[in-house]
This record gives sequence, C-alpha cells and structure tokens, in this order.
Amino acid sequence: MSTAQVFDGLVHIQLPDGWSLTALDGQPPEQFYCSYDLPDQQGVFALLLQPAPGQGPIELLRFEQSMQATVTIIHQTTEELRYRSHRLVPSHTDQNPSIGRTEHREQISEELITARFWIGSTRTLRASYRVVLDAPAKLIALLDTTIASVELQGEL
Amino acid sequence: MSRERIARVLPKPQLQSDQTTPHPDVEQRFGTLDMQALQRTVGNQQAQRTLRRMHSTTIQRVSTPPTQADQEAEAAQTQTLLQAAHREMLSHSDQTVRNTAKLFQSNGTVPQRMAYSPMTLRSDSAALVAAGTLSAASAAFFFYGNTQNNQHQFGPFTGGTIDRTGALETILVRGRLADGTWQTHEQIIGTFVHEASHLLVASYGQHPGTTTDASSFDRYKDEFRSYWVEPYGHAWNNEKDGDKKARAIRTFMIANYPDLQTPYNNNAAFKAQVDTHMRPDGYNLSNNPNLDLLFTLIGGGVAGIDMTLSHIVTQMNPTERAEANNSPLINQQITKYKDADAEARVHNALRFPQTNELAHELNPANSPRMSALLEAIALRDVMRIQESFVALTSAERGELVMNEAVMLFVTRQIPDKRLRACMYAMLTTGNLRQFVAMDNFINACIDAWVVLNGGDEQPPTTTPDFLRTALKAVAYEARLSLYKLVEDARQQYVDALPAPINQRVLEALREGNEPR
Repeated sequence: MSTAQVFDGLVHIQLPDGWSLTALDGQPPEQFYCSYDLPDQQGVFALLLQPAPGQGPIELLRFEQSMQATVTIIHQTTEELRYRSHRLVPSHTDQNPSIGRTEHREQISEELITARFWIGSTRTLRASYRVVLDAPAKLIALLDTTIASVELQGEL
Repeated sequence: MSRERIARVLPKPQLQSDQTTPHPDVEQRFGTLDMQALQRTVGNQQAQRTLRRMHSTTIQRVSTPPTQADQEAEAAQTQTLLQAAHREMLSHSDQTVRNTAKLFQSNGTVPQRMAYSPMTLRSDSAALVAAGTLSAASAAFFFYGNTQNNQHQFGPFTGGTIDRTGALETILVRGRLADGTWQTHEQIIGTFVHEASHLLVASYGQHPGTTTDASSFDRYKDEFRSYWVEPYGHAWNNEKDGDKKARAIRTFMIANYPDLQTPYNNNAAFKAQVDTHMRPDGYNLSNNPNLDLLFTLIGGGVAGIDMTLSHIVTQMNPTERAEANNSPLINQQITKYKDADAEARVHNALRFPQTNELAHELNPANSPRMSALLEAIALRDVMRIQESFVALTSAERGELVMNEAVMLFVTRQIPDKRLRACMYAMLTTGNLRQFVAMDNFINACIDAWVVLNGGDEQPPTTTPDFLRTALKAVAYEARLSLYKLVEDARQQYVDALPAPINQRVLEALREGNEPR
C-alpha cells in the first residue's frame, strides 16, 4: 500500500500496490473524477469530487434507474450505499479499426456497487467501486479497505 | 481548483520527470493494445495527456467537453451520411444491396420494413461515466436520433445497435467513430446489409439459439450468414470460390468472437458443426422485401389469403416465386393455414410462372390492366375478373384468345370447374357476355338433369327447350373450350345428362350445331 494525494492534496488514500488513479477529462466545471480499472475487467475504483450538493445515495440510485437497471439495495445510509445492479445490455456492434466490425449479443450485466459520500458545504466527495457480481471476496475486501482509508485533509 | 492539479492523483512514487522512458506501470497498465483502445476511446490528445501525466507533473490544459449543440450537429451530419449511403444503395450493382435499401422505404403495396437513425456520443458522456462509477475504457453514453434527449450506455467503441422499441426496428449507426473518423459509405452499406440480414432471419424464427446463447451453433450460423451477404469491409467480399469464402469467414469469426472461440477450441462436436458449415442458410438470403412480406402475409392466416395471392401475383417476379416455392420455411408456413384450398391456392400461385419467359408470355406488354386481371383471377373474385376484363383494350382481349400461358394460369388458379368454364368462355371469345352465357348454360344443364331424371319418359328423347336456348347463346369457341379445355366441367354438367341427350349436347359443343 502507498499513500496517494488526490485533488490537490485534499484527499489522502491508501492505494494497494500497483494501483494508480487516472483522471477523466470532459467533466463539468469544478467536477473531478479519477479512477483505476481493476485487472481482468473486474470493475473500477473511483473518486469523484463535485460542487455541493453533488451526488448522494439517492442520486446514485436515480442514475441506475435512468439506465433501466434493476437495483437491490444491500445497505443504505445518508453517507453509504451498497447495492447490486442488474441491467440488460442490448446487442450491439463494436468498430475496431484493426479488425472491423464485430457483434455482441444481448447480455445481462450484474454488478456490485459500493459508495461512500462526504457531503460538505461547498463540495461533495464520493469514493466508490463497481465490480462484477462474481468478483472475489478478497478483492471486495481490498476495495472496502481502500474506501475506508480515505482521509480528508481539509474542509469540503 | 485548476485542472493541472489533477496530475496529483497519481501516487507520488509513480511520478517521473523523464519523458522519454515510460514508467513500467505505463507498460503494465496500458500496453500497446490498451493504449490504442484509450486513444480510440478518448482521442489521441487525451491519450497523450494521460501518458504525460504518467511521465511528468507538467500537464497541458485540457479541452472542455463538447456541447449538446455540437453533438446534435454531429447527429444531423450522421443522418445526412446515412441518407446518402441509402440513396447509393438504391442504384447499387449488387442485388442484395438494392434489396436492403428497399427495406427502408415503402414501395407500392410493400410497406417499409425497418428504419435507420443516428447514434451519437452524448456531450456529457464523461460526466455520466463519473456519475456511475464507470471506466472510460469500457463505458460511454450515447443518444439515439437527432436530439440528445435520451441516453444509452455501451462500450466506447460501439459502432451501432438495434432499437426495437418503436413501430419499426431501427438500425442505429454511429457516423463518427471513437477514433474521430467518419464511417465511409461502404462501411455503412455493409452495416445495413449485415444487420438487416440478422433482423430478417430472426423474424422468421430461424437460428433461434442466437438470441439465447451467444456461444451456440445458431449464433455462428447467424453471423456467418450476415458476413456472407455483406458486400464490403472484408478480404473475402470478392472471393468467388465459395469454400474459400466460407473458410475465411470462419477464421475471422473464431479469431474475433470469444463466445465462439471457446466452444470451437474445446468442444469437438461444435467444431465439427462449424467446420462443415460452408454456405449461408435460412430464408431470404438476399434481404428481399417481397420475400419478407410474403412470409408475413402467409402468417396472417386464411383471412388474409387475398392479400397474399395478390402480393404473389402482382409484386413477386418468377425468381422470387421460385425461391419462396423451394423454401422449407414457406412451405411450413403455408401448412399452418390448415385449409387445403387455401394451401393449394398459395402453392399454385407460387408455382406459376417460375421463369421470366413464362412471366413475359403471361403479360407480354407488362400491361397494368393485364396485371389487374391476373390478380383478380388469383383472388377468384368474379366481380373483379369481369371488371378488369372489360378494362382491357380490344387489342389485349384479342391477344388473350391465343395466350396459352394465361389459359394455364387460369387452370392453375381456379379449381372451381364451373367458374373455370365461364372464364374460358370469356377468354377464348374475348367477350364478357360469353362468361354469362356459359354460366346460364351450366345452370340449364343442372336443371335439365333434374327434369330428365325425374320425368316419366325413360330414356328421354327430347332435349329440353330451355337447354337448347341456353346452348344457342354460347359461341362456338366457348363451346369448344368447354369440350376440350375444361373437361372436368363438361363431365360433371354435360356428360352426366341422361343418354342420349348428353351425346346430342356433346355433339353440339364439338360441332357448333344445334342440338337434336
């Protein structure tokens, strides 16, 4: 594990060895998102910093609803949310410049999502992960530990 | 907070100042293929920025996301591109491409079968990725149509999908791909032909396993068929040797479809099925709208048989009729009528004529009036038969007299011997009144049979006057047609009269004289 300073040092987090967070451009003003893609396409770990009020558990569930996902809530408080998401991914094509078009049949996406929210007066921080439903328990425990390691170094 | 500060998201030990030597983690995380994928996902500039972050704390200011107006403009541009490709398809040299183009528009009595529409990256895709705790490497958000008022999550490299929520199945195509390039007309035409083949064969209930099991042989056959008919984009498109083409498609699919690669490499029975599947299968390989509508119309049951027959006779050419007639699927569909007469009528319609030569003989001048008559005959609609016959020009009626193809058509289409006798009387004389005259004569024969069999005179010696009168109104050509061309009617109505009256009437038919 090593300590990573994120968002101009606002957040300190213990990242497992080999993990690194990458920022994603194209965010709305004053919103910042960085994530780490877990190996073997098992999911993603991410941090999101938004202007307040930002996203909370209810907004996250609304997002799932907008994706026509069926949600099973495992645990929910005002600051934490853990749920399973079940969504139908329609058949579609991929356009790969090197091999051309390939097709993917309709499939079901089943994932486990855990999020923790720090809601401040001007900003909201979310630490979260989304993994495939059959992800190893050891990986899920590691992700939970990583979320638990988040330390705020200033006011939100 | 400035965007430059985002660079700090990297753990400090991984930050490097050497921009020429990639950090080992860069190789590990991105590798060559993953880096290409990232470039396609977010564009080269973004990928370069990401790499820079991995190498240095010096970060370029990032670009702002596109606006909704930007993306709706892109959707409009895609729509224009799709329409241009569609227009090109309508006059394409390849029959399957032309057929596919017709599926997207109504054509006379053949309704529009499917539609196409743009699929475009949403302006807020990156924000939605963040909202959902997703990865930009595997998720992106799109809208369908021209307005960004809907959202659909797929992978960033998605080129298109099918929307089945509307009245018509709609092929959604992304005009501008993840790498920023625009699809060519050939790529779009290939997509249309490929996807239309999938939609059609699924609607026929063929290859059912393709929707329930992506690793099934049905799935393999479904994709094989679509790649076979697709005109562009693959090395095998111009391969004339069918076996070589089949092997090339197989090699491509096994290499690029993990769902099929796994069973192929691990299941000997599956591999054997795949290796021996050398040609596309299923109904309507050419995406033909007429063949497609025929399947639907037959599925409508006996109540819709008039529409079915009308479609076969007026819309389908001999090649299409022959393909339908030889199709096990269509034959199976026809048996669902569970009505022997209906089944026979559709079979008859499909079987005749099956060559262009015969079709030409049937309607040499391709006259719409003649087509209307043929349609009325197929429908066995007496009123329409008479109306359409009257509508013929005198020259067309004259040609009908000697048209053997039409006579054969009538024989095939009209099993009712009385109606057929009337038809022949009208056609061989070119006179509608002879239709009525023959009908009256047959009525008189029936009445005569009753009178002569029920009378005291045994055997009868006098031909009833009403029968003489009725026969007198029948022209010689019409009499001969009953005698020689509609033998089953003659046997039932004339031969069955008590002797010797029957012999007298037969002689009058044959010789054209007055019956004794």
